[in-house]
Amino acid sequence: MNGKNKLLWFFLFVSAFVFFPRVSFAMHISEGILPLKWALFWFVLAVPFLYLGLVRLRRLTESSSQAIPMVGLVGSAVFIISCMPIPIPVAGSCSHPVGSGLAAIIIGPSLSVVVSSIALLLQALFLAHGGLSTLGANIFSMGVAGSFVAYGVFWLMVRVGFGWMAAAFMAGLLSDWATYAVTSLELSSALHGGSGAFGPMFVSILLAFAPTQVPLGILEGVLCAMAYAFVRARRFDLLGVFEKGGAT
Amino acid sequence: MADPGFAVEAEGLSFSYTDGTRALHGVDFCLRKGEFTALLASNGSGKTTLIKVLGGLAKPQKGTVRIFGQKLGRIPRLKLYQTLGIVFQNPSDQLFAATVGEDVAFGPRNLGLDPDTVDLRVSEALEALSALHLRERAIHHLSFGEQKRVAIAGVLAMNPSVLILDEPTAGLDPSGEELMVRLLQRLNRNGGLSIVFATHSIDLLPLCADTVCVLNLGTVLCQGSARDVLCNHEMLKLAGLRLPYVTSLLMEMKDLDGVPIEGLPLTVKEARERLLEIIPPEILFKKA
Amino acid sequence: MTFELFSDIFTFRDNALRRLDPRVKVVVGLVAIFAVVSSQGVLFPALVFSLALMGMLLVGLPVAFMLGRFLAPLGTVLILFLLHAVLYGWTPLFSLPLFGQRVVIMQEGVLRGMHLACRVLGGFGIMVLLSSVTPSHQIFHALAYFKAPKGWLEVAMMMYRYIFVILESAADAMAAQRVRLGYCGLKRSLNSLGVLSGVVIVKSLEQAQRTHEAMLARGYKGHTPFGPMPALSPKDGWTLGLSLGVLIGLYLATEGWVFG
Repeated sequence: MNGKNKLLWFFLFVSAFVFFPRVSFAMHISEGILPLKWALFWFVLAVPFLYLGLVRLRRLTESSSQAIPMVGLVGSAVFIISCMPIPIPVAGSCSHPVGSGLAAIIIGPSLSVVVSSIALLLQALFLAHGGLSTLGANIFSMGVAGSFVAYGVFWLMVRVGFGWMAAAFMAGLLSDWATYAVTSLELSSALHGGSGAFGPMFVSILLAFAPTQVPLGILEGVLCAMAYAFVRARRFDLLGVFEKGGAT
Repeated sequence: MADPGFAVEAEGLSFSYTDGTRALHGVDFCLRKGEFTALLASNGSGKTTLIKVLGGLAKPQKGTVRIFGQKLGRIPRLKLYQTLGIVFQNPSDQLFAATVGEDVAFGPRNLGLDPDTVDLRVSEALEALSALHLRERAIHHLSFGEQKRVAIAGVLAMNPSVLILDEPTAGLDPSGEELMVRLLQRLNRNGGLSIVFATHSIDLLPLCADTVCVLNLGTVLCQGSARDVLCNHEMLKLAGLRLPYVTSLLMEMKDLDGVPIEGLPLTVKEARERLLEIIPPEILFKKA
Repeated sequence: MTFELFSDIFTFRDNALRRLDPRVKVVVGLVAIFAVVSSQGVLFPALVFSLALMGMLLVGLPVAFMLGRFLAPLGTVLILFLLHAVLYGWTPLFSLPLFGQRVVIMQEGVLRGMHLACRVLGGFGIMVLLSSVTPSHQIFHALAYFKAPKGWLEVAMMMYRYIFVILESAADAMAAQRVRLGYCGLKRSLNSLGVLSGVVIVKSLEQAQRTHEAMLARGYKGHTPFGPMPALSPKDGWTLGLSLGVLIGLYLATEGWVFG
């Protein structure tokens, strides 16, 4: 068993190098991978967060009619940022940032879930990345985990006294890794054979993604910090809309 | 004080942005009912700000705006925008729906009209801008000129009696410019719309504008009939503008070469007539 | 291409499927996808995939476009298939020599891997077909009819529209960086991307302000009104009934409910 596992890991490393860097949106679970039970499970888990975001959206709309264009436009910006190719030095190719971390520190985590859910639907339909039955799982990993981790880290670090540049870096980094970990969890829980193979499956998937995701997380952190710094320096006043109507 | 003949009347408008930039300073502006007025200005002279103030999207620190004799602040927004249509410079700013039909229907639906009326208004507005064939197309598949026309249709569907357009011909090719001017003229002559047309393309104006208002550095330099304003060489130069090309050609021929031309023609057609008056017919080679 | 542009050119082409009511397409598509995902055998997803493939050929989707869309899922499928073949099961099928050791391929794993692969292909087939014959605004319209949250739909439609606008300016900005050597080497690339992301966000915020003003000038009161959905034509009704019937029939037949 041990020898076989080692070999398997080697194989996974190779496959990760061969396939995943080219499969650009590696952290989206594609259509058909999750069986019905698990697909529905992640939908059920994602819906409360989506609801939270919609409640916040409604409150914002009540206080200013600017809310929907603002959220929508930040959404398209983040969608485009998540399509930007980032060069990965280790894997020797390009991958894409998650973007929900940046969205979360700009518009707040619950709205970021709303925006991510839309971005994921559009990506599924018009880029064939991700899927419809796996939308719940993808919303949970990218939207919920990515946004709330980013926002929590950012808020905590600023509160503790770190500069917001460092906070934005860590927010980007950890949101990327959180997405990566949760996706691996979703994949392995659905795919393991049922007979206690969950552990090795989870580890294998984590390791298979590691060569691209570990450096990508760091680069996403840098990107997030730079983008946030830019927005702060240029038009911080425009973010005022999102401060109304509660903290989440 | 409120003259019933005025569609839009502004007095002593001053506007500064929060960062201290003074965009308008004591601006007076008026538009008579059914008139086609050009707002002529170089870049950065406060043209777009004036449009926003006239449309109630920016509140001036000083001065008043009256729309058909009623003070701007007192008109409910819903009523205001059925009287006054504003078309922005960049069509992306105001085409926010996915398809042409949906976008033009946005305004009428906001007015709470029933679906059939909405439908009728959409087709009428698109028809008026020769854009009916674009109805089912996606906005992002349109050319720039088509986007500009659809943006105007979207505002027209609100049935305003005054149309304020910010640079409707900017970025269009010559045939697009011509089409735009012709369509606007038709709206003005046949539809009875009062039109404010902000631009800096001076060669187009003599074709359509009744009156011209020249704006420079946030103040009005000159307002009057198109002929008076467009022949005022010194004033236009001061405002960073120039005479129409035909006019400057004939002016130079008159002033420098002493060619006896009567008055100052503003359009190619006028210039041709003036020149034919003084060119001896025997040197003309006329096609049968 | 720098940005993986998403293309919706095909969705605006006229064809038999494009003319169908979007509500019918959304319902049939979702039923098909969830049926595929809940299937236990290979046959049903494989059949759905071939139906979807036939549909795509019928509406004249270019083969290169289809291949492009299926490349990513095919990669995933291959990895998952190999993973299962090695990791899962108890009946050795055969073994392969690899780096001095023998890798045992399991029968159950191969079956599961094949099933998974068919599920991915079937689901993807339906998804690609649905999105290539239904423009997004019609999908949102159908979702509005099915009482999807209004705020979500409004944000979605706004996002969809402005992705194209922002994309254009982002692509221009990126080209401007590139011609001034902004993407030579990792450090400079990252720096350029960081600035570009910032530019994109600032541009989107400013665009939002201008769009909001334009919306106000057309009577916006905080929510976008939707037009009415036309009644289903008899043809739409027939198509809905027939395709659901075929799907359910196939499902029952292949999943062992009838002949099992």
